[in-house]
Amino acid sequence: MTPSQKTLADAQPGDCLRITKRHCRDEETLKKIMAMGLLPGTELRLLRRFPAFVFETGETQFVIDRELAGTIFVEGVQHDKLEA
Amino acid sequence: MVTKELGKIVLAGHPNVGKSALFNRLTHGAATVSNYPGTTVEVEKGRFHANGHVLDVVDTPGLYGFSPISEEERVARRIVLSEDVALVLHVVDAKNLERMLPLTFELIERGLPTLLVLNMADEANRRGITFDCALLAKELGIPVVATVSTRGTGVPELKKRIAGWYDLCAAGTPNRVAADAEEPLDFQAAVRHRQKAEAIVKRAVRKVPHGVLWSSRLDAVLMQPFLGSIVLAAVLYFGFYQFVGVFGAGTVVDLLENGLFGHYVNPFLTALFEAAVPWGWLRDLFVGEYGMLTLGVRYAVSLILPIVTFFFILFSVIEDSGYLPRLAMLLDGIFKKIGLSGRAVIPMVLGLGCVTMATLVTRTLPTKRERLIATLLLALAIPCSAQLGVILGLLSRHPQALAAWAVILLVVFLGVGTVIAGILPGGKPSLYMEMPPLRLPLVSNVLLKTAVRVRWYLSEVLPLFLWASALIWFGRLTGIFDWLVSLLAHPLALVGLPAAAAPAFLFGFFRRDYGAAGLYDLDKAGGLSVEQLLVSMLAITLFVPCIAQFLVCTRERGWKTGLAISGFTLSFAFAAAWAVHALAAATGFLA
Repeated sequence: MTPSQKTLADAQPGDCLRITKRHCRDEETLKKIMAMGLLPGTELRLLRRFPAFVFETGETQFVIDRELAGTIFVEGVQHDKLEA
Repeated sequence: MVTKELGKIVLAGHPNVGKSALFNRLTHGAATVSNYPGTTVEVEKGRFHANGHVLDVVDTPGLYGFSPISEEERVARRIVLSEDVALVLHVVDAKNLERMLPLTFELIERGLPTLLVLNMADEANRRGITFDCALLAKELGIPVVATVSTRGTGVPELKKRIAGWYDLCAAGTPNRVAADAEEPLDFQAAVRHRQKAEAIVKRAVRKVPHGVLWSSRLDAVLMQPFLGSIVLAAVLYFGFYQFVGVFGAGTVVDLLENGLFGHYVNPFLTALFEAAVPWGWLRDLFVGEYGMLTLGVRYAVSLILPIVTFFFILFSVIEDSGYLPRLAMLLDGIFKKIGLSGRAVIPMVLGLGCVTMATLVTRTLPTKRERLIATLLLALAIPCSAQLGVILGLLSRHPQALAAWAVILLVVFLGVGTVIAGILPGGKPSLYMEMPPLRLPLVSNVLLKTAVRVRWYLSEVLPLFLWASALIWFGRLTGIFDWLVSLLAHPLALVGLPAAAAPAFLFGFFRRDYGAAGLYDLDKAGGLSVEQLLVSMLAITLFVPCIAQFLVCTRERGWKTGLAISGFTLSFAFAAAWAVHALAAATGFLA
């Protein structure tokens, strides 16, 4: 798996991540992702994988299922602020 | 005075930012406020005064952007873009400006006069976030006001700004870009707006790192499957069973039913009518065995009202605490198996209070398929609080029967859900949901919401009770009632129930809990064995919910679907009752 193909579904709890690219072809799914404010460059932190994916972006937490998590492309970031 | 011609005010913004709470603060009551996305099921309108202006204000469902995902968003979009909007109050969650401001830009770019309301300012402050409103206003070119809508902080300032704006535009409303056709998703614009928002936030907002909040510690417990299940069990036991069941449906109902009505109201009314009305047949309409006052009003006030009130208090607390989205997350996996997502937890839990209200709330589910499955399961396998109260009261003396009832109901819920999900065409549901922070519910907010819901419930239910009593009276007078009862006796005999249970099931057509209450009376008279009790309780639980639910169901899902659901529910109730009766007879269970 090349780094550019990593999705949120591959990440581990506690990982700090950044959205890499416009991900999915399906417009309805894309709208949902955008509604959560997830656009290329947005940073987030995965909190849980089970029973569903919970992540934090800005000051908000969202819960999504594995299928949706698998459509969100991310890369790891080293971020002091988020780890504090 | 001036105001009407200038047009109305619209509250718009993302789900769960406190629009309804602000609406309530502006108009002093009316809309229901809550801590989960998507409670503004019907659009609320109101009116308020500010500096000599009389202003009409409209609350809208949550809106993420101008290319809508859900039906609710379409409604919100339509209202915001309608002709007679003079001012849009864009309500945002102050701690998430980067995510919220892009919608502000969309509003401004469409030429809509916009005022930005930084709501939940207190929560932002607690997280070490402070903002320079003046700088924000300058950067955006629109007025900015900070508020805490649940407490009313900043609302006088907001009213002043609104009035000031109306003074200014008495001269004439600005032109705007008319855009009624649905727009395609503009990904580039979204990225541009987001970058602009981040740049502005960097200049006008200060963030200081904060310590771990109590809410995030508790959150870790709620979201962990094992501990979360224990909390759920505790909520079910203490909240539903002890608070609503034992206290509300037991103690309080007993006081009202036996004390107030049994000792004072009914004897008084009966004596009054006996003195005033010489004709027995007419007297029966009001104070007879099925009289409008002695049965209709008594059921509604002494039985249903306390149970429903206690349930809604509990539900409002659960809702405002932010527990429901945690529950949605916990149960998403199970709900996926029955063709729903965790989001459907909200109507299902609400259904334990009132299935009719819950059927309305299925609007918040994203696809037609999910709405249909949820409506069917609500009608079939979710007992409402009034009925639940009666059933718990009846079965609590027979723990074995109570356990069997609960297990069978759960099997029906999951089994029917799985089968329907397999049959119905359509894509798999997907879960995406905001998790608002855990909050300590405000007593005033809980009471306001409970009052609004109880009022809705009574206005929906009381006329029905009176009509039912009148119809039964008419049916008894003409013999139709007895004919229907004898007709019902046949299927009842098939499931091993005595003919004396037939009137109860006839009541059940009006409302299931009405039927359950009838069985309650029958059991008190010693007319049912434990096995018959289980079979009859199961049948009446799976029965068609009530006339109000039927009407809402046909309105929301169409006549054909509504009738099909009712037909299925009825046949299933009898089939299940028959199966349980046969099984109990064969195994000797509860004999």
